[in-house]
Amino acid sequence: MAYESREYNSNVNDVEAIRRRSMSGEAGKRTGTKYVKIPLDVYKARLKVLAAAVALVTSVAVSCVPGAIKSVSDNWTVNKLMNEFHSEYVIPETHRTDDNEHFFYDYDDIARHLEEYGDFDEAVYLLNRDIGYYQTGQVLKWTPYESFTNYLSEKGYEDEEDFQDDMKAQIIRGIEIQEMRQELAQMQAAHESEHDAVLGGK
Amino acid sequence: MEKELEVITLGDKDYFILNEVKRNGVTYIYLSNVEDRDDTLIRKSSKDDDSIFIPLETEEEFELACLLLFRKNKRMK
Repeated sequence: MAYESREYNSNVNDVEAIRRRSMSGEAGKRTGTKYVKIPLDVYKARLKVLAAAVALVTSVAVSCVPGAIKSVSDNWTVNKLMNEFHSEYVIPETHRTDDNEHFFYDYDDIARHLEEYGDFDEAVYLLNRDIGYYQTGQVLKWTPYESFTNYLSEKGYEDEEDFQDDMKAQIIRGIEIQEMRQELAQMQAAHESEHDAVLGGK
Repeated sequence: MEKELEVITLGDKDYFILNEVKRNGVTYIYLSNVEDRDDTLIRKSSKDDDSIFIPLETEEEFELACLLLFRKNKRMK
């Protein structure tokens, strides 16, 4: 078995290759029974390949922080996102009937808000959680999907529950990434100020 | 000095498990092909069976896996 230990500098092509392999190919079962001993310097060389790629990806991610990332508090939740959507896009389009007994939605205006929101799928999820299956369908009649059933089908979801589970997971994952980007940016800033302090002290 | 590493088989290739990170019930493992050091990749545990490791689903998830490892290593330093 050849374990070479040349120097390794990651570049964008390497990262793309790792990304491609990570998102495709075979699954595997971890048995916890197969172990191999390798020289420590070989292990470190292998880690360097991975670390170089990870550092490149994270440096790009962290560099995105100032402009693209919203402020995220510790207790930022999907519910908060839903409340914001409800206040900003649903309440203004909710009206009382003349007899004041009932209310109705301006479906076409809410449909326009879905387009404006920036992430159409996330907006449909928040709307669906807010006003339910039937009303979401009424809104989607004003979009190219024409119905909630068509929308779910075109997106490859089995049903409303499947859609909600997947979208919730996606939103939470997005929030986690935002939080980590901020945390890493803070670490980076702290590291730089420590570095400056050391240089200043010399 | 030697290091003992667990090996997982994907298809017909063996990979060292270099590192792993757990997050919200999902385990991400960072792999290096036993025969080819340039063949590095990431897998995650399946929802249905946490001993099965599957490809990541999105580019965002790839970024998340990288961020998790980067953060773990930063904290270890």
